[in-house]
Amino acid sequence: MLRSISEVRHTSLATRRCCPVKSRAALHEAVFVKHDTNPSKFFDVTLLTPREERSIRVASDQHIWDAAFEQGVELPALCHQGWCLTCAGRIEGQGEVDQADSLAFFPQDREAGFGLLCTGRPCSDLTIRTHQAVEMRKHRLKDGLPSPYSQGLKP
Amino acid sequence: MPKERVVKPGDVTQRVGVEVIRARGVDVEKLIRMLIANAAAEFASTYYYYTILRMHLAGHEDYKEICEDARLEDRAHFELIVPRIYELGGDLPNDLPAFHDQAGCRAAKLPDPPTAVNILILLLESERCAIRSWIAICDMTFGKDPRTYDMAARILNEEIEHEAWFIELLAFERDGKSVPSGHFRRGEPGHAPYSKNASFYIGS
Ligand code: FES
Ligand SMILES: [Fe+2]
Ligand SMILES: [Fe+2]
Repeated sequence: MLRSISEVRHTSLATRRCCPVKSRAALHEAVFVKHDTNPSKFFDVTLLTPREERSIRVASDQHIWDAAFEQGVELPALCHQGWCLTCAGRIEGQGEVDQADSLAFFPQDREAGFGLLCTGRPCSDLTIRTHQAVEMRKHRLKDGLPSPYSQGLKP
Repeated sequence: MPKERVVKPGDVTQRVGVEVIRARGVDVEKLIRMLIANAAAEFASTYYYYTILRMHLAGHEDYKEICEDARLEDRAHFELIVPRIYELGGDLPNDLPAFHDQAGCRAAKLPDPPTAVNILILLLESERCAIRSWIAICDMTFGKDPRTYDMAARILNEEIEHEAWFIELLAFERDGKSVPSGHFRRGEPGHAPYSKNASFYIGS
């Protein structure tokens, strides 16, 4: 079934979050206007990549992918918009990620423990298993949700 | 010399054109998946350009002209990709919603409210996603699959131009600034100087 973007967006915004809600205008502002915000908090994020385990510090107003990049950890990404699922990770144990900046993120994604690191902000200390694109695509297929780059994948 | 599986004479179940690139290290199944995602994004973007351009940029005739070029070029991109998908042994999903849901970039649906600034932001981000998607195909095929690489590079050329156009228009419309794109007028609507093979088009 075709879903309208507003529905997707609505779903995304409707999901539980720990950080302040960002309006669409605020999202555009974040993309286009250099704004001064004092990050109030930093979190410790442990990244479990296929090659190594790395710990990084991420500000509460920073995307996890960007912080990893700045601290020398290169993670997969393609759209950088929270759509394509290339940057998907899975949260291990407790922890919260704010996905309000993602173009599409569903309650089922959160329930299954997935996160989109390109547009995800930490709300707590986290441990994230990276390189979960294929798994997240299969999960989306299983739930009948849009799954970019999934041709030929079985749920 | 890379070793490829030998295709038996008369065998129509395998393709030398595929085996030679597989032997050079291309993950053909992944490439097909990426081409289908890009084809879906081009298809959807062509469709949404109709709604955005035709219905909601009244009074911005210059923007309409630029959008028209971008729309026709996205259509040319779609038509350039499809044959390559089939040559590689893939095919398009028979189900249009299934195709739509695989797109690598968000559909450029009309923003709310549909102001020129909001439309230009949407189109700019859509072109940026296209650039990232096509350079990923270039990276994957460089030095291994010259045919797909050539196609992706030609599309990428136009996506980079599209981004520059929308930066110029948005900077002017929203910020009152001049950020030139270096744009020259296309030969005619739908010219697509990189992604159309002009000799294939009678009269063009
Ligand atoms: S890079 Fe596309 S969703 Fe994160
Ligand atoms: Fe395109
Ligand atoms: Fe484009």
